[in-house]
Amino acid sequence: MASSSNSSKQQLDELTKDKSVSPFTILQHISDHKLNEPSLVLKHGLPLRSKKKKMPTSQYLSLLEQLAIAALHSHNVQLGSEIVTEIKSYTGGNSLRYRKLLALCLESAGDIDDAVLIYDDMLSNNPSNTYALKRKYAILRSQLKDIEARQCLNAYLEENGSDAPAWVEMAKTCMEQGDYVGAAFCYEELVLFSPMDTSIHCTLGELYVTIGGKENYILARKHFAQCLEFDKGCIRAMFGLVSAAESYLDLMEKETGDKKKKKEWDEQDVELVRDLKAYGVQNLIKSYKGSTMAGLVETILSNESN
Amino acid sequence: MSTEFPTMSAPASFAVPHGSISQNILLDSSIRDWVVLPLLIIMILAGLLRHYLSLVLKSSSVKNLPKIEQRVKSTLTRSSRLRSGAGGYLSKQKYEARIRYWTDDTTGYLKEEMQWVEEETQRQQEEKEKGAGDNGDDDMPDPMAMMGPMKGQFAFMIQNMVLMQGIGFFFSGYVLVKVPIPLTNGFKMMFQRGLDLKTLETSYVSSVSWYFLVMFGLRAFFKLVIEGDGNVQKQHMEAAMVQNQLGNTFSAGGPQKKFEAEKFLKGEIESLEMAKVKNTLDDADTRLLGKKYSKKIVGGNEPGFDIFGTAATSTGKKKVKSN
Repeated sequence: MASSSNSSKQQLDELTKDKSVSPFTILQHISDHKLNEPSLVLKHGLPLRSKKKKMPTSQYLSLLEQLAIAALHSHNVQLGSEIVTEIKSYTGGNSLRYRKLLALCLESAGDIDDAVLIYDDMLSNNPSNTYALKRKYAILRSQLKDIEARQCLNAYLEENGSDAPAWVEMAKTCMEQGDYVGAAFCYEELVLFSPMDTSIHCTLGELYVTIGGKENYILARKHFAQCLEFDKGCIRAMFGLVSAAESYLDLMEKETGDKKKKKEWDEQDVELVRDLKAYGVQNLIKSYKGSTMAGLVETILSNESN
Repeated sequence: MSTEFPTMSAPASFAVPHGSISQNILLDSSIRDWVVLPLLIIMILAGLLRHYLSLVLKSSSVKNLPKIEQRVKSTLTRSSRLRSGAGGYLSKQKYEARIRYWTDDTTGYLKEEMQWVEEETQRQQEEKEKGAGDNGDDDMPDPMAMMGPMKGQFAFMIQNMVLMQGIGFFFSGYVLVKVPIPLTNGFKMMFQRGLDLKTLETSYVSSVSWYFLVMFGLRAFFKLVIEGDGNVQKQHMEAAMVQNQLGNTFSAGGPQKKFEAEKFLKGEIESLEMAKVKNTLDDADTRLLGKKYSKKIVGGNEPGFDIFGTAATSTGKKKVKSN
């Protein structure tokens, strides 16, 4: 995903450098690829407002919409509200798209109560309005009302459980509140959504290590291993693997003092973990070879293996 | 017949059956001026008229997404991910815990969802009785909504009928053009509709057939002219996306089938219980280390795991490499 957004940004750079390209093409490119370039939008879009007689109304309105959002992104509330008022003169006050922009305007002007009023009204007309639900959550987040925000997001997920970005958001919220078990649940959900994503496996592994306990260390190393299978050079997963193995071995050493608990540790499994750790350490040292960090990494890893 | 070879005309292709070869017919140039070109122009104009008429008649009704349908569909998407291949990327215990979480007889999520659907339907019904107003969420399909797509179709049909009748009336019996390629007799139905001449070469096109050829041939042309560079369609799609976020859908009109939430939820429980997912995650660590632990994997936990003997021994792999 990162690479695709990079390439669309590069394309945008080429478009802006080429002076023969019409501003419409640039604006279209930005909105097609959902790039966050408010200053570019304003630079190329504002002069087009004077040409409104030359384009169909629908096109002009979508231009205004893009401009309004860009203006609000660049904290120019004055300009934003001007444009929104102009939109109103075309669509009337009942249009949903207009009211959505109006609420955004109110939000950025700091008039949150009125914005919430609009969202509530939208929701009472149509409870399936996910946009309003998301905005309400975002408002709570910005007000640092963590618990309410979490409840709000929870309600949202109950209605829209298949929305993966919402699960990411939920995991973030959980982590901020120190609820790693909850966050792990969210990330398991994300593994189901996108099982080949290395960063998801990595994060899930890290969460398991953070939660701690034998079972979780085992799960963690499996996810790190899975991540390394997809991407052999993933440094983050290698470090994760070493730390999961290390925690596992530490725990084992602690518990093998106790005779009762000693039986629970399978020797083959312990052997496997030792091998995994050796594998991780070896690969890490190999991948840092030649860089300035090499010495540091070696010291850390040798400390860890002691 | 076969002895009467036309002496003046160029030898026709050998692909053409003998009997169908006839002499070249000279078509009057006023047929071109007064029949072929006018027909083409009439068709183009009629096509444009039809397009703009359909725009006027189109009922672009924006409808609220029904709450129950949206929520249940979303839940089903989420639960079905578990029985897709993705389920193998959770460890076995977590996977099974999740299956329980969805399908448990009393506290399963899907069971709770079924209860919720029931309550919600009841609540909505009560609300309707109280308000006695319509929220556009009726069980009965709106009769006017059924008219929407019908109107467009009627216009299309009527126009077609009138045009065909008119063309049959004014231009019947003409041979309008000749296709520059020889054709077999099989094309007679397509090219010479309305002409009952067995001996006429198939390359000649009658007026009614010309009408059909132009009608279908112009589709691509209209696409080019009306939709331009696809901007209109793009705008429609964008609008649909924005409306979808706002919880609306563009209904295509027509009576819509009622979404039977409970049936789908029950089906999902069953398919989750039946689901069989091959676990990939649980031996990821041994796979990573390779050779030393590969014997453990070979065990194969399912019958038929190793039909082709590929995982039999590590020596087998070496052989393949050396080849």
